[in-house]
Amino acid sequence: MKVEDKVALCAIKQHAESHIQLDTSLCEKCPTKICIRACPAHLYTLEQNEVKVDHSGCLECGTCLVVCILGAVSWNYPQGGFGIRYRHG
Amino acid sequence: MGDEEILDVIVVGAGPAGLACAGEAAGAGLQVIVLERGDVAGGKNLSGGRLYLEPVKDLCADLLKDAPFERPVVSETVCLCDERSSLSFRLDQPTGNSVTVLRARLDKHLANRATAKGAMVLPQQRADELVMPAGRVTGVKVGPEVLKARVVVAADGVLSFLAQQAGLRPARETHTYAVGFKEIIQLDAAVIEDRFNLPKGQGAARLYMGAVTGGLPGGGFIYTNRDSLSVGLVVQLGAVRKWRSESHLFDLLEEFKQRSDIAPLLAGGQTAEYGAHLIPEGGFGALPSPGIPGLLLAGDAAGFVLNTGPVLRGMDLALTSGVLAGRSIVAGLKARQPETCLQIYRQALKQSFIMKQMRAHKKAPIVLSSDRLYRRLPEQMVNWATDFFRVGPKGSHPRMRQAFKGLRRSLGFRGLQDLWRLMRM
Repeated sequence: MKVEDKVALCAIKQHAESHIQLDTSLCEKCPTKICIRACPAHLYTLEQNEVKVDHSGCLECGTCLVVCILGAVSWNYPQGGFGIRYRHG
Repeated sequence: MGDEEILDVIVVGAGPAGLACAGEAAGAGLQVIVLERGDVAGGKNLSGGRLYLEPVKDLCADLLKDAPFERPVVSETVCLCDERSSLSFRLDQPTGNSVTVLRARLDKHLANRATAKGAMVLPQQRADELVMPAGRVTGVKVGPEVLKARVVVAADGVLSFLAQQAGLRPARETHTYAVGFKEIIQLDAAVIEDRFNLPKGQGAARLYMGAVTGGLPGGGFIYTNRDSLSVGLVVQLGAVRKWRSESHLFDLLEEFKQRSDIAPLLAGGQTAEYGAHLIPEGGFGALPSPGIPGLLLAGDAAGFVLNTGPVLRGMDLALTSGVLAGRSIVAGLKARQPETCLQIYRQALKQSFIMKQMRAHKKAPIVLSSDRLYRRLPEQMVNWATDFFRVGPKGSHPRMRQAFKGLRRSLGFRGLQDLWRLMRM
């Protein structure tokens, strides 16, 4: 099963505004770009050598925030009532 | 709520810590509100998960009465894995001391109990920041609104932005966190009982160590719920940061599910949910101070998680710290000395099993971060067992003595040292 299909099973009320911001000038210099391989929801991708993040499937775990070497990730919880709602947990 | 009104207690976060605290304080007659950023209590919460009951059965008897647990764990298995095989140690008991839980159900129950005691749980309210003039917390900001309270409790989970703002967790040290990610796989109750060899209504916990995490410190787990399985992995983020692999972390879970010793347990099951959550695994050495004037930390926000390998505990510590925070606030406010709450709480924590156990297991995070425990040791144990059970083409199989000698040889000095450290942990 692909991770995209797993994330699609989750109940997520998406806010138009992203709660994840990247300082891509730092990402450019990042030797590992570990966020891409670490994010459990596969939100981080490399497009034309630039790290991109799509907040819409975010599981709100904070892995990217903690694992980033360069402090390029600014991350807050989505606004109250938005984001993931675990039905099982 | 106008700016003028000062509440007794604002609790941030409707999880076990926050709700236990809210119930305790409201039950003593204090005016308590709980701010929850999700749609409902528990909506943002995820555990493996199992709850160890013995530490909380007296302290939280009322709170946990008729709680919707999934299954009592009567069957414990630890599996050491190489790429293809696994060697298991299994304990079956007539009764268990832990229960599997699903947080959406459990936390809703806890919220109902806290509400019944008079606490007000407000969903869809994200506490954006602390109000702290002159180093003392006097309330929180929710959007443009300021809510004031005599005491604020940050039970806002592992990432606790409030604790960070208070200066209690200035740097997020990567090695003090692990990430857990799992699927809920639905299966009929009877099928679960059949596959895990369980009496009706009883449950199993299986922990996997070794190749399942691709050599990263951590492990895999399967917990039986009433009519689903929680199947997932936990890996330490300090090691993930240095991980040399082409794979993604989520690939490991798919490989885990496809192992020949796992897939038959899951066959025919439907994945109903996928989720991920961080775990504060820094242990005693990484604990922040449990508060500053006007602010108490409880649960994951305070770093109260104990990982000793086969036992990973968080919820019993969360519930306990919540109750202790609630009682400390009651004592401080009833004496009209709110400034003493923190000192009372600190003392209560020190006397509780939380600090005693965290101190007793303070070496665990270091021992458990050794790569060899996950790469070499499980593989060597599996190899030994494979040899032990093999009858070769020449009709020979090893004598017990040879087998153990072989194990000692294959473990080598390093392996024996690892075992020694584990036993002394």
